[in-house]
Amino acid sequence: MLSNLEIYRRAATGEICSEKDYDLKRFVPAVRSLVRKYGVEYDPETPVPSDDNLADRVWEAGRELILQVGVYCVDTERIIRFEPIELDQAIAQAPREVVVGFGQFARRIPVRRPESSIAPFFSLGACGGPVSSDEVFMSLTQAYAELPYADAVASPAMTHVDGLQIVAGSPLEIEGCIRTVLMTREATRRAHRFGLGIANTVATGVRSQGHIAGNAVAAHPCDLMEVGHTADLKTDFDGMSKIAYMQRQGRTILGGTGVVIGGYAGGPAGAAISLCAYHFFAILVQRASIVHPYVSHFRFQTAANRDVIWTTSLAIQASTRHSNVPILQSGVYSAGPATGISLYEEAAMAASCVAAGGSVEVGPTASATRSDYLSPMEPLFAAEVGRSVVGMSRKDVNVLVRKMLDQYEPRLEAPPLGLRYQECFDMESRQPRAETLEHYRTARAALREMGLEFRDPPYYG
Amino acid sequence: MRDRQTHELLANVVAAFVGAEFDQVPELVQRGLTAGLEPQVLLDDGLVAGIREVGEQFRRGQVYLPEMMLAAEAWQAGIDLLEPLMAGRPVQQVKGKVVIGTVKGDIHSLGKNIVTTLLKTAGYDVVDLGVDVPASRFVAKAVETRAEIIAVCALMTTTMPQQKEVIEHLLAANKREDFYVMVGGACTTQEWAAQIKADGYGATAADAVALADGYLNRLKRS
Ligand code: B12
Repeated sequence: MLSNLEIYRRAATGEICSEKDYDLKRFVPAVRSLVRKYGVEYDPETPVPSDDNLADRVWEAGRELILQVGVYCVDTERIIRFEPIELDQAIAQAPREVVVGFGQFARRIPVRRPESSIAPFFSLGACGGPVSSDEVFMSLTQAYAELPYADAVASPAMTHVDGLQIVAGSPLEIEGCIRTVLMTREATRRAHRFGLGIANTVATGVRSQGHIAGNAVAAHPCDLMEVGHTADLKTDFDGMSKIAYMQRQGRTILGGTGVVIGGYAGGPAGAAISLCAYHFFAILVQRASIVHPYVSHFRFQTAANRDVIWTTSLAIQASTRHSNVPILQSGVYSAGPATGISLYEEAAMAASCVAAGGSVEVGPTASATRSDYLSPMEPLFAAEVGRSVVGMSRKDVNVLVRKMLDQYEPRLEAPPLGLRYQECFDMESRQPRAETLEHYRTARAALREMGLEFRDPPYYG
Repeated sequence: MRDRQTHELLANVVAAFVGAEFDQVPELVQRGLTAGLEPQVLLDDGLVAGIREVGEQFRRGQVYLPEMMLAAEAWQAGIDLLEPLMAGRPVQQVKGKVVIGTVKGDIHSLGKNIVTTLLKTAGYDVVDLGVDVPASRFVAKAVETRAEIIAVCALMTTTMPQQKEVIEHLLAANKREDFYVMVGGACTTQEWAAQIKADGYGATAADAVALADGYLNRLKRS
């Protein structure tokens, strides 16, 4: 596989191109013509598609996309290009089945395929959702770590250090990043699950210096660090610096691959193709051992919008049919905790991802607008549903997801804010309050009614 | 009555926008000029009508950001052809000038680009400072370009304080009264805008246009 230094060399010497030209004259027309060439058509009636031929076409189109346009480096204003053989080598030689966490709680992220009967991996947590205080941080993260299905926890984003508001790029960010890892680890210890891995170690950090500081000072070698990108198929020195650090330490990278439906990739068909191109980007440029797709929508702030479900599910099927690098889908939602709606959103996201061959990360509300609008209930519910659909056919899951969509789709236009963690849970016992519990019971009953057989007894109540 | 040729040509300009064949727009405008069409007619019934249609398609969810951006570029290319022929009269009725950017530390650009494009197509002259923009640059650029409005975008909890910085820089320079300041971006809220004493908050790009229109109406009245 191409080395990290070779990627950097190409970024430093590749063809010069302005960012705007890369976006509008290269990327946009290429995606459009590939949508046509490969006949990729969005079908809203089938949010979870099961057409293998379609998945294979999307994969081929994604491969062709990255070959055609390359990857743009924002800092050098040059294009990093790849040869077909280099993409094939990347897929063949990429790491697989990495271990997250240590000791008793070390967990392998499995390679799954569509309709796989292998249990998925669950990363549960606030995942960058902001919290107002250290008290909320600790209680909430302990509650996540206590969830029996958590294979890893994802930390919240701190907003204050000793009462001072964290500003991106400032020294407070460094301090916040270090504390985030230390406190998340402490929460796993309090939960009696010391050794549970931390996915996306320093959600507080925006810049590489914060991420590197948090990892260097406080993370364990078996924690993950997420590396992002700028926009569609673009990288920058900031991201590359994180990668340089992580590679030197032999650490595992979670390659965040975000596509916005309605952005440069256009509609769902283009976004699915672009997400497949990102699979190669993740392995070669981000040096990822786990690919972490997060698709969002220019109008709806959720991973459970119908367009997003189709796009993600199709792209995960495409990737898992052709690659052994495991997928951990990010599952943000739009309605706040204790509204009921967020539970259906999470159920639909988890079911469609698991049937497609992915593993699941459940985080905060998509826009993560206000501090503390987080709860352990959504991740728990996503895991309960995800575990229950293991081995089910995509066709059956499609029927189920359509019924779930009926429950919440009309309400995505104006999703309710819900309650803060300290309002919907008791911070000391970390147990749901009566109203929150009621939403959970109702949602479980509704899903049973829709035909889902839960594998596990209810965790709460 | 317009002759058939004129009618067809204007329809083709609009069709080029609607069919996302943006490269054709300047060509068609040039053809119109060669055929002796009035620049004003080409502007009103060609370019403006075309870009309006794209705006409608966007609102209906039929096209997305790239089409909007490409349409705005095609429109500009058309205007560049018409401008020298308008005998000093400004081609477009510019409603006002907006300086926009994403704050320091924040590189989220998609929402800002949508806001920029909608403002442009609604008749505003928009100066886009890009992403990772320090507070002082918003102020300096707004002063330099004599803008009426500063639009400040932030998407993260740790970069929202930079929106407040823009306002504080304006206050420090004694220029708070010279500009309307609107804020937006995923994690911002109405309450936040009120707290930092911004003039307005918009949840969507359409809100940004409505806010801008409101400010300029107020300016006109005063
Ligand atoms: C795409 C995306 C990215 C892309 C951005 C690509 C690009 N070039 O824009 C990339 C991958 C680079 C990215 C990086 C990061 N991101 Co990000 N990102 C998103 C995501 C998924 C979508 C944003 C988006 O484009 N939405 C679509 C557009 C159309 O919506 P919008 O920006 O809100 O704009 C609309 C309105 O808000 C309004 N509007 C926008 N601006 C303005 C301005 C004015 C004046 C007005 C009136 C209106 C207005 O109009 C627009 C159109 O209607 C959001 C989650 C979400 N769903 O919002 C996270 C999100 C914003 N990101 C987040 C984070 C944490 C990060 C990273 C720190 C991740 C990391 N650990 O590395 C980095 C930070 C990089 C940096 N230094 O800025 C968090 C912020 C959490 C928080 N509360 O602080 C979010 C909320 C995700 C989450 N739930 O955790 N991200």
